[in-house]
Amino acid sequence: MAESSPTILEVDDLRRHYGGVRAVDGASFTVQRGSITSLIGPNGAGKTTAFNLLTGFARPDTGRVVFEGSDVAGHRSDRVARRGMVRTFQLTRVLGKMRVIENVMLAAQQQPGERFVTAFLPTRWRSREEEIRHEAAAVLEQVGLSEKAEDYAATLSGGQRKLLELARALMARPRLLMLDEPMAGVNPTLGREILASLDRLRHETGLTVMFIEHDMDVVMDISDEVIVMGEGRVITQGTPDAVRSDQRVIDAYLSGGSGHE
Amino acid sequence: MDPLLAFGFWAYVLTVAGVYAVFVLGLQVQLGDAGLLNFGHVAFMAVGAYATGLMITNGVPMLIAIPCAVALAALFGVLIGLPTLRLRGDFFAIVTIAAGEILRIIIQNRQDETGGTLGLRRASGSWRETNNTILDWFSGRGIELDRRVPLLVITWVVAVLVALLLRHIGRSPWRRALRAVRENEDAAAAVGKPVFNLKLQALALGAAIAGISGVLFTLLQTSLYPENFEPIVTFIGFSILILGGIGSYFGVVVGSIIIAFIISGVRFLDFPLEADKVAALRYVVVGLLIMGMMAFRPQGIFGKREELHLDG
Ligand SMILES: Nc1ncnc2c1ncn2[C@@H]1O[C@H](COP(=O)(O)OP(=O)(O)OP(=O)(O)O)[C@@H](O)[C@H]1O
Ligand SMILES: [Mg+2]
Repeated sequence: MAESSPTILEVDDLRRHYGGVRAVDGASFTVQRGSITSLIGPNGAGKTTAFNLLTGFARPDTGRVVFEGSDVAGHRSDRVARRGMVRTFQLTRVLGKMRVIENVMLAAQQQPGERFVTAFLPTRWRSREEEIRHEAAAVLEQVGLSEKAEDYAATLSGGQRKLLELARALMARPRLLMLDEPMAGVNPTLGREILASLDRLRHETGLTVMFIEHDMDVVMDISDEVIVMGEGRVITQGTPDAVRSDQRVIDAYLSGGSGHE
Repeated sequence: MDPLLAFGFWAYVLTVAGVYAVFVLGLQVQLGDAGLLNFGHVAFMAVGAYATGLMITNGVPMLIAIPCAVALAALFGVLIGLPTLRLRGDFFAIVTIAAGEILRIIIQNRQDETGGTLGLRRASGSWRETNNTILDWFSGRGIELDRRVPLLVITWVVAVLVALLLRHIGRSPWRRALRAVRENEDAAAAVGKPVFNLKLQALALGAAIAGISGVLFTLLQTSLYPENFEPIVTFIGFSILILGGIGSYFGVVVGSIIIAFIISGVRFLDFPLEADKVAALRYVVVGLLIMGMMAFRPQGIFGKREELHLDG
């Protein structure tokens, strides 16, 4: 029912202000199942705040966030993630004193050993733990971090941390993967390889990807849909070609914010 | 008799060390694993101790009173955690120290039930008789034990069992999730880990372990006084944790023994000081030791140095 709906996410009149700053000011948009949808806009447009509101890391003042048919606005972040909406952070959050592979293994779902009581019964979680370790190694391979698997995450470079964020999110097997500037600081060749692998993944598993990105070439190249934000609002949503030639978008980039980094 | 040669005295010191070891293992779960800065840990020990004492003095059999007391300590952990664990770490620390003091003052003021400052007498009930039975059993077999030995052994068996149990779950996915919460709550939540529940579980588990130390303390002291549960106990616990090394269960054991010997041993140093000043001196020694530790071996005796310099 909800599963088969072509819309995986529907956002309606989302608002959040911080003091006098209207970070998100009545944003509405939709994300199609199985699509790669990018969210663009000048610096300070409210993109990251929108991600925070969608994934439970900030509470909307008002508005609806309908994910897979149910409103998750204001739900706790960990519950939203377990429902299948998993995000990464623009400012990476790695678990520095844990090994890279542990960072990824953490994200696995359906590990009974994560419950307090079951933790005492290794027979109940050992075999799943082995699966998880293999899966995590494969995900690290995919993002090019295999060699770092046994290093402490705190020793990673900025770009490697971005890759680790991505690996962790992928490991959670999301239905909607939300990436906040995943390519910032990542070697462009590797970045494109990873985007290509995400593209493959969505054909194989039906994954939906929504990502924030400033590199217009990447955005126009890979996206099915583009959502443009400016000053907390959605200026327009459409195909890359439609958006590219939209005068309002050009105006937003020329007037608002500080444009490209 | 020369106290340095009195076996019974050192057996007592080692028992105190064991009680502290259990107490600090609880702290290790909370701080070392979950990153919870609990400055009111002594409150959980107080709950374990007074719950045991009050039940026993009201006729509840010891073997029922003890598990109930431990469960009550865990429950008290949940009660403290529910309203505070969503606060930022430093606020949580302040609330815990306040909660501990409030509990102690309540114990002090409910004189009719707890004996207040006059103490809760015979809180360990029939333990003395049980102890004598054990001693008789051994002397019947030609072994004369000091009367302090049985509790010494029991305390350290419990301490080792608790440490082994913690090590048993040390490699579990549950503890990995807990460490993730310690490292970065947002990262843990973003992949679906129930941050609040995990913190509550760690707090309650640490509280239950502190409750066990309260039970042992009751058996050791036989009478309970509110002043046994002043904040200094928590801070001695932290000293042990820093000395042994945050993250190391074995470090807790060694740290407890060292600190217990310093605190009890300083009185034998021949200083031209009055008794109460010598008593204060032991905290000076502990303080200097911790300062020296911070300067030269900040990871503690058994902590991992490589983890110390890793941030974010
Ligand atoms: N927690 C907060 N407290 C106060 N102001 C905030 C907070 N979060 C966001 N803002 C403000 O909201 C506005 C939008 O910020 P946001 O981070 O969403 O922008 P963005 O579109 O992600 O920009 P960038 O491309 O630079 O990452 C900014 O003016 C910012 O200062
Ligand atoms: Mg941003």
